Amino acid sequence: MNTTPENDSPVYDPEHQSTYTLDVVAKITGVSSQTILHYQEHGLIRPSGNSRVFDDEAVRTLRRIEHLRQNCEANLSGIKLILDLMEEVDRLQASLRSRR
Amino acid sequence: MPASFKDYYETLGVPRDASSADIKKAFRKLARVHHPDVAKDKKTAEAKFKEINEANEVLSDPEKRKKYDDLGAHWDSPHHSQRQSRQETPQDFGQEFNFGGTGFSDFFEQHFSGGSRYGFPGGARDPSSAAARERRGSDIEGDILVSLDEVMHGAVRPVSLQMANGRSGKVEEHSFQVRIPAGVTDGKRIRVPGQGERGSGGAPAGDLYLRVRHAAHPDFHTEGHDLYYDLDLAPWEAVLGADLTVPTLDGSIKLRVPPGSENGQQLRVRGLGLPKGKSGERGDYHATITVHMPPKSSAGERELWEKLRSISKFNPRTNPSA
Repeated sequence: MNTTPENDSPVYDPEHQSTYTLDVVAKITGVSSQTILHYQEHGLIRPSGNSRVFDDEAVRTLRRIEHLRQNCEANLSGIKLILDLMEEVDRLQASLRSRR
Repeated sequence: MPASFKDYYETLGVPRDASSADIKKAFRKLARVHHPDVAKDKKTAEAKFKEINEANEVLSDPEKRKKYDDLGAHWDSPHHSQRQSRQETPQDFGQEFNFGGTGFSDFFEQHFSGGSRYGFPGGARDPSSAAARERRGSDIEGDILVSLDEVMHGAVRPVSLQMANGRSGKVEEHSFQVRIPAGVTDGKRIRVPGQGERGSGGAPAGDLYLRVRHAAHPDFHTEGHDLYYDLDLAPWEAVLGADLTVPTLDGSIKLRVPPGSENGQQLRVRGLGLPKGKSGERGDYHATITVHMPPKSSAGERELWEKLRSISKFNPRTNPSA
């Protein structure tokens, strides 16, 4: 972890487009590789280009899925609906912001 | 940690019943004066520019403005703190959190930021259970305001996150810096691993996601990596064409407006938008034409309009393309 001359707190330096293999995503999120592939098969998460490589957005989505599954007791179709709606809200908010 | 009330109307110098057009106009006027690229004292200008941007962020959004007006009306009431959006219910045993260095004030963070916390396992609500003893911390999300100059060149931003433990009430502060990659788009989330809520029982901490918000600019707005500029034209400039000087993030350029340009038409300049990562590739610059009518005509101008009326076959209702 680096620091800068004027500030000695650590610098987080995200890669512009960090990608992770299936095993690494499983380790980061604590979700098994098999479950991740199951979610991918149902269109809940999207790989980044190559079918078994994922980005930070996929990691975030996986955490959301687990949150919805465990805390809200949502099933796969419910989770898909919620994620799609959240994506749509994000898209519409971005479009509204750029028009203001 | 209640923050003090901010008078956004005063910041923009507009009355409380100002229209959205008045707010836009006031923001643009002030943002031009205090834009860090223009002002002499960059440090003071940057702080002022962020204040103006924050006021604009709330007052230009009808939903946020309504919430703000409602908050203002009840600010002195002892119950106003109940309206704060990010306080968790005590039974969640979660942590309240508060950002610093995101470009927004504490007041904005408490009431208008998109901040949220998720990932708290249902089973952990019973603090004596095994799940509660060993539990990964929740992920925390917040917004970070990034100027277009920072988007162009990249930046390192100091960020702090204060968290108060829901049970013990102890406040911890983490300070760190985050590199804003050049070309980061509005809405993109930057993941900062391990800077979310602390885990318990030796489990890892959650992650922090900072959602990038491009600061409103007096001249430009962005869509993805493309940059948009509103180009105001006189009717004769649109009809006859013109060579105009327009601002870009790289300085001024000469732009040729072709004869017969239409309202809403976009003139594209390739490669003068925002950078796309480290590749050196850039988005495009679009000048969107708005044709303005002169507010009033002199006698001579009126005579010319009348002459035009007598010789022109153009009728926008029956033959718009003639």
